[in-house]
Amino acid sequence: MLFPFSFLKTTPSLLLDLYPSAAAAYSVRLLRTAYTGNAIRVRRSSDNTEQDIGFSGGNLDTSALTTFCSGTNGFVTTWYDQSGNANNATQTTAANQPQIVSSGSVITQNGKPSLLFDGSNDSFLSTTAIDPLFITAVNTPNTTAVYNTIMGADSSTAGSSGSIYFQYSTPTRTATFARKTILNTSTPTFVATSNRQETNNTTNLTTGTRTSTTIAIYTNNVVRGTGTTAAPSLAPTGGTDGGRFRLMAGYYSNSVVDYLPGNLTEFIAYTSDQSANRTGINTDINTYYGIY
Amino acid sequence: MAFINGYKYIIEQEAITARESVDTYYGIPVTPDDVTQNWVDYQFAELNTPQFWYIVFDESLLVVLGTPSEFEVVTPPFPTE
Repeated sequence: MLFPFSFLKTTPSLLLDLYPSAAAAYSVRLLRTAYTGNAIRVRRSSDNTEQDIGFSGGNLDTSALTTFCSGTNGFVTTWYDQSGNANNATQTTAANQPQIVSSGSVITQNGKPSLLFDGSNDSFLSTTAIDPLFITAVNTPNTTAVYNTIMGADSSTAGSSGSIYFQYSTPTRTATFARKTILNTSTPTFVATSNRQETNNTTNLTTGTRTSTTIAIYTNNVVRGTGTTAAPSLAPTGGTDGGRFRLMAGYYSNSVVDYLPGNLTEFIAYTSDQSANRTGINTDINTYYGIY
Repeated sequence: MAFINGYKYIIEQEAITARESVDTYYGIPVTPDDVTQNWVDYQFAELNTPQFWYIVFDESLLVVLGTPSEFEVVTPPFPTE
């Protein structure tokens, strides 16, 4: 006897299936069932040719990656946005591209493929500007330097510093999420600074949230600092890159600065309030990466 | 102020030409559709007087641009963000 229900297959819901409407989403895993694009585009150092690398079973297709980069190094030219907004993160200069394959071996953190940034000039630039209310990032700093930025955006050609800071400070390596609303001052208006000092070579899930009244910074889904906000008046719309954001670098005095030496494995941003979903989103991430 | 080891250019076109020579040497871009458009990029010493353009040294540049030199670049005041 056949039981009709035995033929029903349940498709596991991915992070962006459960928590949709992300403004930008980059990962080494598939984040949305309906996403049919690639994960990354890779340049191999042996002949500088490029190839898109997709997913296999919901994970980065490391078999295709190591076949393409057999015995050589691989650098990521594009981290494709899985949100549906085509806000791809790219790096057009070879010397500034993060590495994902070293001498034929995939670079990993917590057993998952991960992008390694050199902290000198490696960064990605987004396609369009966003003003996020929720950011969460799987990151592994490896060296302490002055201001290591996970995400940064510039504010104005006339301004002296950027409008969005999602970064670590030195020497304490405390995480900060800040949103600046006043031009020509280096002091952010809305700031949440962590009370916890992070350790190099340890993977963190760093989360910044902002509502109309509160800005907060979390490490591993535990609140580490809060501040007070009001309606922001200065959007990330100008500066060197027209308000588009950088991954693993920030802005100061119309220059790209504050590079973060270390790994970035996943980065998701929402321009809507996700406070109610923070634990759900971060739990999904932690289940996959085993961070805390 | 920062001491930079690299290649200094008085006019921007010299920096562009140097960048192009490196791209030509390394065959960048391999195809017109490639994301990678340059091997290395140049930077603007905006706060120096007089201003200039420069490329930071990398070992891969030695064969194309020759021996680098050391020069000072005025950097912004220490950020307090």
